[in-house]
Amino acid sequence: MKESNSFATEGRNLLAAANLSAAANLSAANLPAAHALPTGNAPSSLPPPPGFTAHLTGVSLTDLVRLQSLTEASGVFLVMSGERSGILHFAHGQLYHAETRELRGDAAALEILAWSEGEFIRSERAAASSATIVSTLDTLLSSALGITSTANPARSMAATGIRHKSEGAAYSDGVAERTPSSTRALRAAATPGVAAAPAPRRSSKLPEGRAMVSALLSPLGDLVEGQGPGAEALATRVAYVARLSEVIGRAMGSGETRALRVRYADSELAIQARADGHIFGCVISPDASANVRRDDA
Amino acid sequence: MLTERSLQSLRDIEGVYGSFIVNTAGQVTARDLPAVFDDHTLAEASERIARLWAVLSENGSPEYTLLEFAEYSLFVRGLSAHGELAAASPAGCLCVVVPPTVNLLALRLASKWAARSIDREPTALSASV
Repeated sequence: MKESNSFATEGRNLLAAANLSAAANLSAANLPAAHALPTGNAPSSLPPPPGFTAHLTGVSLTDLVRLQSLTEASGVFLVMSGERSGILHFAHGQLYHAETRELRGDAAALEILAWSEGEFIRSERAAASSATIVSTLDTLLSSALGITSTANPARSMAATGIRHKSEGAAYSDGVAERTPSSTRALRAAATPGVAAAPAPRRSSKLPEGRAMVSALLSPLGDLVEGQGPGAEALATRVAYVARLSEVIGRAMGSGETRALRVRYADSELAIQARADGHIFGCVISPDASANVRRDDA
Repeated sequence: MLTERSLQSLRDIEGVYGSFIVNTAGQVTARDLPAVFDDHTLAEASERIARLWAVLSENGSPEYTLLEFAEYSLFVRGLSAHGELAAASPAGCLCVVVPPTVNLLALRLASKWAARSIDREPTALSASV
């Protein structure tokens, strides 16, 4: 459930119309260190095109991306949303590479496009030398718009084979009124007077460290890739636990499941729902759990 | 009374929206939550929470689990009617509704102490809500 849908582009001059030109240029020296990505023999970035620079607010990221496509823009754009950041590479209006701290390619693009607020900044970073995006921009935008909504019945049903109660009229009549309408409403009820601003989000990334066993499940629940002893047993467990989590989240009106962590005395089970509908689960070894504790701190 | 106080103590952790207790039968036995969560909503979720905890406990008793949803997160810790035997014979769960930004380390300790108090309450896991 989006609380807002607003992206700002940074620039030196105010642009009068949203559909005129691209975002502003920022020096590479201004970029966060996290984005000092290796570029290998990548070609140098194109010099920014002549024209206006812009500072816009209230524009969705998908619209800004569409604008690059419409104007057949080439360049690298840094997207920052809270503590998250990612990079989008365009060539002649085509999005051909995307990258976040953890993801690359289509998955990274979907992750970035699902962010509802932030900044969209032209970077002087060198263009990526190879393409990692497989899907068309239209496909990515359609998927992203589906992901950003709280309910994606078609995708969820494809993943579980079970039609959700919310798809039925009998369910939607009553539950929609009972379940909390939004995080902001809940925060307002729970913490009156301090709930005006949206809270930053804890990263749902997987704990760092070596996985003893892992399983990647397709949206249909098939084991796509398993590593380590007992991967199939883990896959079964992950599939059922993920499904139960989804039902719990739906019953409580808390939206789709992002991740699940289970801490045992000597290990940790981590499950992550990916933007493309796949579910990844792994059991982290005791050594890696130490990293998790540091991460928590 | 002790159970209610234990649940309320969890609100000392910044951001905690509230908490509730679920027994192994999936019944909510105590709650300290805003009214936006009505009893019917909780009943629907608690049955699945009890089942989830049972599944997660098959290969050893977890210390806790954190379910991260798009809107907020649910922290779950095991309870027992026999105090320190919680790991050996889970008899229910303490569930805490938290924002994604909650201080997990502080919550782990706060919930541990709350769980101990609740474990000592003979009626904490008897359905009454």
